[in-house]
Amino acid sequence: MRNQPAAASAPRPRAAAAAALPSRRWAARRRGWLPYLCLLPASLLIATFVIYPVATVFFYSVQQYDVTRPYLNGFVGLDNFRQVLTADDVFRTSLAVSVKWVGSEVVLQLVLGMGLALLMNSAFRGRGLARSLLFSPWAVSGVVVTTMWKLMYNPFTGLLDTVLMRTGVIHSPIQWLADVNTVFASVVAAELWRGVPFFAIVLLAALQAIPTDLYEAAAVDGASRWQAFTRVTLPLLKDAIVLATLLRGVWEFNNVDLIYTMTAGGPGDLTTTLPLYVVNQAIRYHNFGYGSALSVVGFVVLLVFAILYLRLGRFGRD
Amino acid sequence: MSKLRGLAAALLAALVVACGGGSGSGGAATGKADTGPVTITFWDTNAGPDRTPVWQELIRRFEAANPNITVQYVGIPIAQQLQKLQTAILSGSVPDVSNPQVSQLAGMVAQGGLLPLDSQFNGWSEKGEIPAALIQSIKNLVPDKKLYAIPISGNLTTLYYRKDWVAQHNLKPPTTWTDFYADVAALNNPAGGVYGFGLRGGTGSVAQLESWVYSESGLTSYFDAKGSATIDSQAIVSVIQKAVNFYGKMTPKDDINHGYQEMAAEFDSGHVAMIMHNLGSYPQHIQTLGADAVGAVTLPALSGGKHVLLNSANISAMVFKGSQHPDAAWKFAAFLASADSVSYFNQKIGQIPPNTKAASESWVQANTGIQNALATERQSSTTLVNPPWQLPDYASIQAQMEPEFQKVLLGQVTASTFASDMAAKLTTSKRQYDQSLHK
Repeated sequence: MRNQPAAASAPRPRAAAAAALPSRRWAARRRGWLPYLCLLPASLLIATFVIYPVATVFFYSVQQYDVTRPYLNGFVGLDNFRQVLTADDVFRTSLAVSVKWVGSEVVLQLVLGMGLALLMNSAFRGRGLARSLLFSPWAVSGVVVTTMWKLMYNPFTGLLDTVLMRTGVIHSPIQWLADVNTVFASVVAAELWRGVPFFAIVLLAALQAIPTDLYEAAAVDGASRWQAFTRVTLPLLKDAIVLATLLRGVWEFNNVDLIYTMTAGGPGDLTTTLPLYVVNQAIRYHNFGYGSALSVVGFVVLLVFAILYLRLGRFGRD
Repeated sequence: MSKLRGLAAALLAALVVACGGGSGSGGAATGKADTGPVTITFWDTNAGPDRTPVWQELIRRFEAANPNITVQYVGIPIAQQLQKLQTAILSGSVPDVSNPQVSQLAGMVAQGGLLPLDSQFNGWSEKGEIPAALIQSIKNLVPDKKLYAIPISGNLTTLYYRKDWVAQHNLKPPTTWTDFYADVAALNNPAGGVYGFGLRGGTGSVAQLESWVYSESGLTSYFDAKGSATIDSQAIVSVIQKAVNFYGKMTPKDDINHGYQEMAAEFDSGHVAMIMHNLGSYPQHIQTLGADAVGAVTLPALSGGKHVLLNSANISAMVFKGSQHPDAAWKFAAFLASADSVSYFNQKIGQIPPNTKAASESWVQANTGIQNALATERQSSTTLVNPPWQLPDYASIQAQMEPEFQKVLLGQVTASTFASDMAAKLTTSKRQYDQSLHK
């Protein structure tokens, strides 16, 4: 090839270029399709498993759709929403329980998680083992947590009442899950046990990213430990705190497994959160239309909360 | 490029299969005869350590007699079975055969989930052994009056009491309502860790309560002549109030959350002297406490000796419309309802065999719980009340009222308001159902 005469080879580039033109066009077209083709599997999965189910919920929210009363099924417009917002007492109480639940869980988990993260960030012997033990509740499923805590709350055989009675703190068993005054706090405590490690993990990771020279500079300037915490640690943890509290807030709002298995929302409606009310309407009472309308309302509540929270928290801004 | 296309096509195909395919036995009924080896699915609606082995033994016997048919057992806890079955019908991923109570029949027929079995039943050699009146009562539960369920096991609400404690305190067995209240009060000793009664306040509470209040009030119909529900009548409200008065004084406070499992455990562990449940827990109590310690009677008699008892739903074999092997499914359903299977199953779980041949066996005569139930049912003075199982949403209404009953126990709602709410729901349900029949 290298020794071929130039005259003989002169027309070839043009011919080759002419011949290559369609293939270049094809290649260009192929380059145009390729990104879409690469996105296709993920798009199909998202469309099938996210968009379609969500769209279905919106569709059913304007339907009377009760599998036990099929003769009444059909389009009802905004009737379900009217019922939810104007005539449903359980919706109002369940929303209030949800707010109380999210507020108490997020605040307590943040405070306790921060304390544990600071502890785990300091150097001490056996820190690796302590970290592993500390984070283990996060890996336990809600149903197992329920079983464990229900055994402890049992008024006849439970650990809590037994210890309190033997130490003389109480003289008759406390009905932790049956008493109006204790049931909510009892469920909060069980979820707290499971949820604190989440904050501890996130905050510990953020703590380890703070340069130590900032603390050295603060010490040189004569800052106390409290001042170093409030002036250095907290400002640098702000984004991690905002994100973790938002994620945890949404998670706790939607939490069903632990409450459902521990109290099923009872006694009465004392521990019925909005998602649990949705479960009751759609799954236990088979009223999918009304359950869908409740889900849409819950979705709007969470959306507004997330937007406001990120704006007020100035997430990502100094 | 071609690889990418191939990948995309394969993914799409996988998605279509994943989203469109049901279970192995799901899909539309073919109606074809099963010639080769087939596998059918059986959903047990009350799975657990007591009953699962019984069903598995029946499946083993069936497969031995029918080597071409394999039965896949799927156990579902009783608290979730109604929801699972209704969702399965909705999504088209039904089992071939299941064993729900006939109280759920109307709802599943309204959903179009079951296969009528009239022609198969009429050609069945053992059909004469199932009382015709029982078959007719099952047909009457659905608008088209077809047969969708074959009975396997009968039941009745039973009052379990500590026979040994009643004897120790020189009390009368609780066979009348007067004796019942006297015994509960006499055996109640909270300081000693024993309560007179175990109340079901959690899952299944309203169904249990209905048995009690209709029996003690003496009312014999759920609806009056105008079609209004009777559960808000003064006679019933006063009995509900008695149950509420029990709570926390004659019962553990924790009872407000108790479903069947917790209530039975409370009785078996000696923390309560009496509970109300159906005959199905009789073997468990006997096994745990011993025959000398447990008494089992029907709900007590009114003054004058007359009994009013709420009918309990039969466990029945049902075949689903989505079955791909309806012949094999029917064969298995008929096997479960045959005299031998019915006898074996009911002997194990302590319930009434709804099959004349099985009912004449010696073990039935030896079971005092069943004998007591049958003797009371046969008395001319006994009235059996039918709950409105024909209403497809009856079970939903009961479930909706369970948190409301807890509110009554907590003192947040009065017994009267609770009864009025439930009556309004039942009355509306009946009116809507009746209207749907005339469309």
